[in-house]
This record gives sequence, C-alpha cells and structure tokens, in this order.
Amino acid sequence: MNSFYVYLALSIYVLIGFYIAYKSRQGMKQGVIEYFLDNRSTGGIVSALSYSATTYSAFMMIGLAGFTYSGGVGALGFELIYLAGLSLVAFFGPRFWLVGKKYGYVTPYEMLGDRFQNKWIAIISAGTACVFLIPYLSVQLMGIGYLMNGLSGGEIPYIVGVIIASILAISWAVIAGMRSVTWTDSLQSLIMIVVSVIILFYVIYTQLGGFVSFFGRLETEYSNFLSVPGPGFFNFQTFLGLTLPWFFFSISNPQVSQRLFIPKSLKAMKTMIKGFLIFGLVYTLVSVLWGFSAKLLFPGLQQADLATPTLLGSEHVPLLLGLIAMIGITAAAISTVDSIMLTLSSLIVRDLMQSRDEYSDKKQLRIGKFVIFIIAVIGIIFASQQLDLIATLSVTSSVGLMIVVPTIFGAFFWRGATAAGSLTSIILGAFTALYLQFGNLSPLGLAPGVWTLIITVVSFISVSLFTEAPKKKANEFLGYLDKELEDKNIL
Amino acid sequence: MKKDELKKKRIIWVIWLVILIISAYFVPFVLLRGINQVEASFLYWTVFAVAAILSTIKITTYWSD
Repeated sequence: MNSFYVYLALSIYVLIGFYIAYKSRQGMKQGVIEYFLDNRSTGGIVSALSYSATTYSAFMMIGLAGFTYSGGVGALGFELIYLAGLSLVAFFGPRFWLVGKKYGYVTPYEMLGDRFQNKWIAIISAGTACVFLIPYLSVQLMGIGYLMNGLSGGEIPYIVGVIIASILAISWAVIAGMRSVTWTDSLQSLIMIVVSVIILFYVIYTQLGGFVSFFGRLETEYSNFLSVPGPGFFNFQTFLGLTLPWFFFSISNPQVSQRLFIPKSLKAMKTMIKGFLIFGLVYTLVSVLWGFSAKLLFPGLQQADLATPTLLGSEHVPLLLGLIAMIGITAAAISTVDSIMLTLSSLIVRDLMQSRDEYSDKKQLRIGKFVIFIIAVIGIIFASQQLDLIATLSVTSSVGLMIVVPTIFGAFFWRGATAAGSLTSIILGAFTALYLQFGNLSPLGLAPGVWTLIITVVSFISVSLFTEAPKKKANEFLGYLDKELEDKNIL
Repeated sequence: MKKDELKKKRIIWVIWLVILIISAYFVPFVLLRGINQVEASFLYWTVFAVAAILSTIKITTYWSD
C-alpha cells in the first residue's frame, strides 16, 4: 500500500477528530471535576460509545484475532467471559456513582483512600497503576507503529507511526479533558465497529463463499479449532489464568472504573451498560471471525499476530477497505491511549500528590496537562526501545491491576475491612504478580493471575480480621449507600 | 423496594450469575470437550454471553433515578 494513501486516510481521520475535540470545548468551565470527569454530566450514548472505545484497544483486531488463529474457539470464550464481567458494573456502577457525587471523588483510588481513611492506599494503588499502565500504553503505540510501517511497505518509519499516535492522544486528552476524550472516543468507536463489520462481511461473502460455507470449511479443515483445548494453547490452566484477571477488568482498571463517575444520571449509566454490552458482543464475534477467516485464507503464518495485517495487506481486501481498517485499528488504540493518559494524570494529581488541597483547581489542571505530556514522552521512549520488559509489564497489567479488587469489594460490602488488610493485599499482590510473571512461574500449574487473586483475597481478609476498621467512616459511607440503594432500587 | 427484598433479589442474582460463569468453564471444557462443531463451544459461549448480557440489563431495569 502506497504511503500516500496511508497519510491521506490518516489526515481525514485526524481532521475530523480535531474538529470534534475542539467542538467539545464549547461551554466548558475550568475545574478539576469538569476536566477529569466532564462535570459528571456525560449522556448515556456518549458514555456507552466512549466506554467501548476505551475498553477495546488494538488488541481485539490484532491480538484476539491472532489468539483465534493459533488457539481456536477458546479465544471467543476468553473474551466473552471478560464481557460477562460487566455484570459487576450492575452492582458496583451505581455505588461508585453515588459515593463519587456525595464525596467528590475524582479517581477510584481517592475513593478507597477515603473509605479506609488511609492515604497510602491511594498512593500505592496509583503508583502500581502507573507501573502497569504506562507499558500497556506503550504497547498500543508500538502497535500503531508496526501497523503503519507494515501497511506502507516500510515507507512510513515505525517511530513516525508511534509519534503520530502520541500527538493525537495527547491532543485529544488535553483539549477538553474527559469531554474531548469521550467525544472523540464516540467517533472512534463508531469507526471501529462499522469498519470491522464491513470487512468481515466483505471477506466472508466474496472470498469464503458466505457464512454457511465459512463454518462448513472450519468444521472440515480445522475441526479441532472448534473445541477446547483445541490445537493446545487454550488448556484449562491457561484459560483460567487469562480469564480470571480480565473478568474483574471493569472494576480493576482505573481508566474504565473512573468512567463510573461520569454519567449524568442512573438512566445514563443504564444506557452506558446496555450500549457497551451490545457493542462488546458484536466486536468480539467480529474479531474472532476475522481470526478464523485469516486461518482459512493464510494457513501457514509463522506468527499468529500477523493474521490481521496479512489479511488487510492481501489481495483479498481492496485498498479502500484496507485503509479504513487501518484507521479502525488506529482509532481503537488511540481511544485507549488517551483515556489511560487522562486517568494516569488524574491519579498523579489527586492520589500521588497528597498536598493537592493546597493547590487551586487551575494549578492542578496545569500540572495534570503537564503530566499527560510526560507520560506520552515516557510512552514514546518505551515504544522506541521495543524492550521485552515493556511487553512483559504490559501482559502483567491485567494481573497487576487486579490487586485492588478485594479492597474494592471490602469498601462496599464489609464494614470490618481495614486499611491494613487493604495495604497488605495490594503490596503482596503486586510482588506476587511481578515475581511470577517475570520469573515465568506457575506454581502447581496455576497461572500468576490465579495466585495473585488467592494471595490478595486471603491477605485482605486475614489481616482485616486482626486489625481495626475505620468504623466511623465505614458506617457513614455504607449507611449513606444503604439508604440510597433502597430509595433507588439498586441491588 | 424494601431493604430485605433488595437483599433477597441481590442474593438470587449473584447465585445465578456465579452458576452462569462457572458454566462458561465447565460446559466447553468438560461437556463439550472434543466436540468439533460450530454448534458446540462456539454456540455455547455465544448463548452464555447473551444470557449474561440480558441478566445484567435486567438488574439495571430495577433502578429508579
């Protein structure tokens, strides 16, 4: 593909994105809540589209399609168990939203620190989130670098793709904070879903004889790919190790759990959940079917991650569709990166800088915007080095971020939960995740995610039983929630 | 809704969701193991996801602003 067409397609996407980002600034006031949380006034449809774009990164079209290519139908189960994890939001979503409004929380860790009356919970949680999410963000940038480089036949250097992606993410996060992020996310999520569906139908109907023939060929040519463990990758231990951390993604990852603070009403939150679930089901099925299509069309690829780039760069996909697919994948990556940048910026301003109350909103925002820039620079440096360390940390991110899950459960459902229990579980969990992942260890055949969950849960409960809970705050916090839950019929 | 009724509904929905999620491991890995057809694990996981989505949406329909 000629680099001219790649740049042309990108230019159109960038211009529309900037137009929307600037448009979102209109009527916006300057304040921390306005900037980081869109003044808690985001409508349901924008919340749904933005939640979808933030959650689904370039992993879906490249990584999940690759998983399907190499491991078969287990990839579908893995991603749909993640989607079913959204049922947690039906319980936690309104709780986050209610206490967020009542106590003015900006980040989920600020909420935990206040609930347990211990600032170290917020500091350590925010610190670990930075350790795991910056590499995750870098991997997204690397994905765009490889994609543009690959599709232009090497004419666009890898680092140019990384820098273009970083500039877009910084801009769309800085122009109007959460508002420009959610508005541009909405555009990007529509691009992602429309493009992926069009290409799937095009490939299946023009190259594979329609869905009946497609599934028929799968059953005859790759029958073992339709069951688990299938060709071998998705044995039960691997499957459990992958799915367990992802099941808790909606409450463990701050860039998505922070979104529980932004809907303007419970009705908007309902729309957000509904919209995301439908988006997620369609996008998952499409990504998996892309992987199966690549298997039938290019059975001999050495690297499974090349399934999608090979499909897009082949004669089976016309130039125009290949270009819009590249934009779709770029959009998926950038919408995740800018949301992570904005969330990390809020974590640094609100949780790591515990002296924030001494600063005016204006100063906090200035620091927040500067931090976004610094995060981007670190992301670019990591992406340019292409180190194994970054890839390992990125893979560990879903496990590493899971360490706050027992604390979140305790905050809402256990008056006896303590700050000591929370800190112990977070610290032990972080060490377990890093030690097992970097050591490539799976004691008793269980994956790092399983051990991390066991250790965080056991340490949280056992230490809480022997230490003193912040009873006054627990009663006030949960007493308020009990009353509101009853009034609003929240389960 | 009264507090006790909310609690009862919460427990029922949590039990149902836990069963549903366990089934997403048990059915494909045990009952459908080695059945190499689209109508087996592929279909089961899709139906499982639809059931989880409908259950989640149903829980949100109780909410009132």
